[in-house]
Amino acid sequence: MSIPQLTRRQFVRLSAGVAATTLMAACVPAVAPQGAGAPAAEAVELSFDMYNFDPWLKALDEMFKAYGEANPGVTATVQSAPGEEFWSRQEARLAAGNPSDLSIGDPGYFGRYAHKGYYLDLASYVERDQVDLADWFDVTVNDCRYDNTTGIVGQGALVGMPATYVGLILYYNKDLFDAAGLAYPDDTWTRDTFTEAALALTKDVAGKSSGDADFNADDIVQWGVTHNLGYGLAVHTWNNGGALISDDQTKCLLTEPATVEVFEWFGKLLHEDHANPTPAQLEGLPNPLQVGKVAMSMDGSWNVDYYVANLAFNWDIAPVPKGNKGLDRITYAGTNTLHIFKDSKHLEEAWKLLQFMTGEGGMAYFAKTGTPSLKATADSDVYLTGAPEHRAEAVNIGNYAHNYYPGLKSDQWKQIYTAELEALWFGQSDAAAVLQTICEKITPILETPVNEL
Amino acid sequence: MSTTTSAEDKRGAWSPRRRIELSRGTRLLNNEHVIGYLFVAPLILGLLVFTYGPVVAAFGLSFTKGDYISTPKWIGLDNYSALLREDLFWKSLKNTLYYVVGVVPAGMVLSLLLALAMNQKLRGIVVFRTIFFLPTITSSVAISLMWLWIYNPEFGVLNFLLKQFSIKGPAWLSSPTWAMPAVIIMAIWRGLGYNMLIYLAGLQGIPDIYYEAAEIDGAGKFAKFWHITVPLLSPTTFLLLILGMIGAFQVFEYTYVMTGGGPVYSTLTLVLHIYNNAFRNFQMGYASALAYVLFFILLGLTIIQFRLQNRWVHYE
Repeated sequence: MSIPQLTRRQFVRLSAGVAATTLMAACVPAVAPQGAGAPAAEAVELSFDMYNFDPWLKALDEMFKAYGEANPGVTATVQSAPGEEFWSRQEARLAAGNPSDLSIGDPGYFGRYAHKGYYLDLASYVERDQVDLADWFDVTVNDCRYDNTTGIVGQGALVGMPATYVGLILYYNKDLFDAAGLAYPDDTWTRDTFTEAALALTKDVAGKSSGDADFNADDIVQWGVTHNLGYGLAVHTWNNGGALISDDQTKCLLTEPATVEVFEWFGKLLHEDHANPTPAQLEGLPNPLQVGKVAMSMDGSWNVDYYVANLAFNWDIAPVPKGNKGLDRITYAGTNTLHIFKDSKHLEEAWKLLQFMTGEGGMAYFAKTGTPSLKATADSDVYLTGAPEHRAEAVNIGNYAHNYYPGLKSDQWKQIYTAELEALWFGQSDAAAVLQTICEKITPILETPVNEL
Repeated sequence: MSTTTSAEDKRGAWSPRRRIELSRGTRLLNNEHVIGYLFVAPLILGLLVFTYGPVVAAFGLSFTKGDYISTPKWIGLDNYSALLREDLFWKSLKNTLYYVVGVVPAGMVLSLLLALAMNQKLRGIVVFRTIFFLPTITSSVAISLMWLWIYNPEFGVLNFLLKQFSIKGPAWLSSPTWAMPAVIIMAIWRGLGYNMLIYLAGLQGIPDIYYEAAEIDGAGKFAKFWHITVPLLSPTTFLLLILGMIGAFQVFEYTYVMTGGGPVYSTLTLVLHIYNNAFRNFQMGYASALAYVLFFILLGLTIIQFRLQNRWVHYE
């Protein structure tokens, strides 16, 4: 008896058939098996969208575990992605009508999402459950508001709740101050006092300070100060009575005298006094404060716990210096906001989770990642215990903070503002000319009506 | 044996009519063209859905205003007229041309010299060819990060070497003057291996008889190189010129990772400008218009090159 054999054509037809069947099977959606036992009626799964940031992921895992133990039947999980992919993934899910239940917010995306109505308006929930918004710092609650008619974040409907907040403070190296025989920064400092200290603490290889005869600007071993350029310049400007743009975000105010004065001062600090390293000089320094190359750093309070763990010298924090005009101190603060997506299928459960996250229960975990927006937690030992000595200054900024103009137009005009300012940082142009150029370029954006964006 | 009278039985299993019906269906499946198309169908479907479809969609988007999550609004040619008036568009185009002119010719000359060196019949030459080819198969992001360290003004290898010759190296990537040359140097280094390999293949395709005949006529090394090697390598050169130019116009990862387009827009290239408009400013329509302008520039340059090839490309 002969063994049946496949011809080439039969083999080809068989392969094509198998491939077609596999393809069709893969395209058919899976049907959940109908088990004998009925699924639990009350079990709810909530998803929280978060980009990869280890301190937050750790805090959220612990927080959600605690919430699940206290609320059987509700499971909250984190859906995370690397930062570069996170927002495009979230955009795609929103476009598909399949977002997570809750998400972290971001100043760059808040305005767009709120404008398109993706976030749940929490006003009715807050009113129904008698939530007292005064329990959180005002600036942080306002950072969760959005005005649909003006495109401004900071006013209008409440579409989120605050988690942690950060702001600009003054870090200083106590050892370098001691070596120079200078008093530490405190809340009496003005911009003039700050400048004097910065010059005195700028040293060349021979130990001469900026302003001394024979000071060698080509061989500086220690600078007096470094700034977070974006927020730092804004803070100095506000303390001088100026502003970058108007509060209604329709006018450029960079050419106002009070603003120009601050940028001219900073240009001098960079290129004449050499008390602040230029971006070129900073390129070789991963963190100038950490490696002892600067005596002061006007930077964000987001670094406090990192410095607690990593700085090898004596240091502390102080409030940012006031201006020279006797005005009340202002600093920058921004909030990490939490939102519920309107399309969530479990709005009530999501709201309860949000209340937990932003209440004392959740804030105990958030306190490990940054300054809690809830006053009770921020002022308690949960957050205040530990270094540095004046840790409370990181909380106090909530009382005198201004936001950095978040809104629907902010990404566009800030991109131009940041890029054009490089001409000042590199000494290619003077402050007045640069600010004039920026105003000419950003005014059309600021004047565009919100409904045309 | 019984004699049946039904129509079917009268036809029988092998009647001519039944043979034709079976063969029509069978003929289709037996047709190798059809089988071939069936096998490439998934690939073609994928290309249509994920490549050509988006290309056509982008053309449509270039006449609209909107981001990914809202319905695009038709605005006609406004995006195209806006980009012609935008300073940053011209700046990014100028930077891109600077990059192309810096990378392509120098890259090709150096890789030809490298290919000539690698074309020796020496023991272990394959090892050197592999070493020179390695950057080609390494991720451009990884290479960009590595060169960030090389260019570091305080700790970088380059400034350290320059210091040995008493030269104070600039802050490469923080200098508006030096940032683009720094990117160009890195890009030339990275492209050497690939171009070298293509030239090597071209060199090895040149018949020895030409060199032998030239030697008999008393030609020296340079004469052989200039009058034999270069003309006979012209098809390879043409290929590398086209590919190199198209690749150089699309430079993105290097400037995105190393400089972000700064300082002072000195390394803002056209594709980075497209990326910023699409994914930072959420202006998908405008970004699509920019992308199509780039497409038409490349198309025009490629057509010009193909027209000019008759003057200098010699096919055997």
